[in-house]
Amino acid sequence: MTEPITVVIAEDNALLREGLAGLLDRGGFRVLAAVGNADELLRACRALAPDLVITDVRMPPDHRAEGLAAAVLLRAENPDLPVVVLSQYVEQSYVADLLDSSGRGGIGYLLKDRVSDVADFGETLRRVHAGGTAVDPEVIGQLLRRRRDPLERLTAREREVLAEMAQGHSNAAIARRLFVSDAAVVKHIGNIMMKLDLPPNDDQNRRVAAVLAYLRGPAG
Amino acid sequence: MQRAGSAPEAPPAIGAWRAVLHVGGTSLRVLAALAAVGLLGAPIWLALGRAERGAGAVGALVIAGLVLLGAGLPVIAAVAARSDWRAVAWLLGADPTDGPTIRLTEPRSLVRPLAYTVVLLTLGGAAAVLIAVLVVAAVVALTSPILVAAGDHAVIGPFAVDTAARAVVAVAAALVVLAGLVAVAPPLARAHAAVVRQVLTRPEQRLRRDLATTALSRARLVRAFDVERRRIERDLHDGVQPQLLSVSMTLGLALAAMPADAPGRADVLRAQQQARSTLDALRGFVRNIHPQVLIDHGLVAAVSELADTLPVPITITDRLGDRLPAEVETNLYFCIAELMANVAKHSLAEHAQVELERPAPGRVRVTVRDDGRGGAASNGRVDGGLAGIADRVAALGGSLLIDSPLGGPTIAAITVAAPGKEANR
Repeated sequence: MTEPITVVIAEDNALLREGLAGLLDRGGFRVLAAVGNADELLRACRALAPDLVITDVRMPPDHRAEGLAAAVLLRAENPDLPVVVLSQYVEQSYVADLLDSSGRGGIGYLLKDRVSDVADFGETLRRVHAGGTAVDPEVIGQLLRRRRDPLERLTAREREVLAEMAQGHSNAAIARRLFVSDAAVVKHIGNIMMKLDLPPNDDQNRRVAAVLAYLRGPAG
Repeated sequence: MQRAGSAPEAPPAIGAWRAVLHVGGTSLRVLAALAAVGLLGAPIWLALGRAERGAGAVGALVIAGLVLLGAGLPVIAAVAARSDWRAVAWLLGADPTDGPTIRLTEPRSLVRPLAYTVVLLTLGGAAAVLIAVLVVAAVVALTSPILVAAGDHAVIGPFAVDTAARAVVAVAAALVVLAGLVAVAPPLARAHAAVVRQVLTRPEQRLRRDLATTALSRARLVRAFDVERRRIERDLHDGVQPQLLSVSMTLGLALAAMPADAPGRADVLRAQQQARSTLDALRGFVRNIHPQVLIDHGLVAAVSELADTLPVPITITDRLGDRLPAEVETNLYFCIAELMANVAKHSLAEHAQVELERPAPGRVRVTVRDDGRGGAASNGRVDGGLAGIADRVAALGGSLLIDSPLGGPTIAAITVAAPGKEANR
């Protein structure tokens, strides 16, 4: 039995904060602190050095993107710190802010609704903790719609693989989720990278970043 | 426009000395105008005084006098109207530049000044002469003690002041008269101001003022509407969404704790799915009410995100490069949102473009183009969408052009005033 992953949670809504803490406790994480605003989040992280940070985007005092700003700041101080941002917005501009933050630690941007799928949520947190990237499928879906034109060149299967890849799944996980062989996944990914003019890359995080950067690019 | 109320402007308090100066100045101007009219009409008075000269000469003199008056009165009227308007503006502390436009070459612009001049020369003339007589009499009365002391005497109308006792009475009477004049100056000045404003303001000027007021109240309404939208958005975001999410989380925990074959598990699962689809719908509502991304990332980001959700491919071209003032961003966002929704709903377009640019410093232009079937703004839609856009554009003091021939393409262009660079708010 390995040590449980330690977490600091920042969420201004007390109901959700309690719920999230309870859910993480049951999911085998250890919650070091659950705070309600960005300043407390910064203080808690600097004092407690958690393995993983989970924060809401919008928090008091003025309900702008303080949570996100705090996450970006924490990563600047500690590039290895994995951060998961929970949001009620699908908007990818927030994802962009997060991806643009320097750092080697994993990154997650999830819609809050995902929290209710307990098993999946726990798995996503572990993936980010291990240095992976997890961007919400809703956001990916929107980005895929945005870059419709060049994506025409991809087959339906390749598009599925691209969406999985953008969410940060490993080759093995993609193979398992789409019920195809590892070799097929490797071939699909090679084709996708070629069709989209992206450099081939085996590093999970850099690969996701490249795909997302491509998807975020100007439409048309 | 210093006030945006539609109520008639309450007379501002007028200082007594300011009123005295105004009344004095106006009286002098009236006397000057009377003198001018007297000079111009001189041939007529001559003719009337010398009836024995013969009909021909009298006729010629009268005609000459009338011609002189006809030519001179408009000039007098124009000068009187302009100077009195300025005097009244000074009296009320108002803007002197929004006066009537008077051109001698434009007879219509002379009607009101002439009417005003008639009032001025008759009523005003009577008042001015009375004031002048009283002031002169008072001055003489005040100097009478000096004259009496020097062995001389002063004559004020029917009264002769030739003894010390009479001189004292004269000085007292003069002081009373002057005090009385100072006391009646403010109401007199106010009455004059009212006449000037009433007679000289042309109806279209009043209309312009009303329009400015209307535009202001329109802008106020739009602003209040946006504040309300933000409040609703926040209530949903901080109240309803978390509560529903909490329900969904609790159901998730219950599901995680339930064995796969537990009775009722299917119902719990369905309940969770319902909560989730409600959350999805709610997210859409909240975004439409007021997108947070507009505040955090600005107009271009918000428009791009919105375009992502529409079925028609939309290209966004941003040549602004910086954030605009919050109010401009909000109004433009909702205008663009409406235009893009129209493209998606009605145009059958294959593709659309949104361009944001600065055609000139201090101005911002948004152009929405689509290759659809056209006929926007003419297909009898009554969804109020374009009216809403017009309201917002008016609130920004901008212009809206829609070119949408049947068969397309449709081009909608909104141009508004927007100050330059604005740092992060």
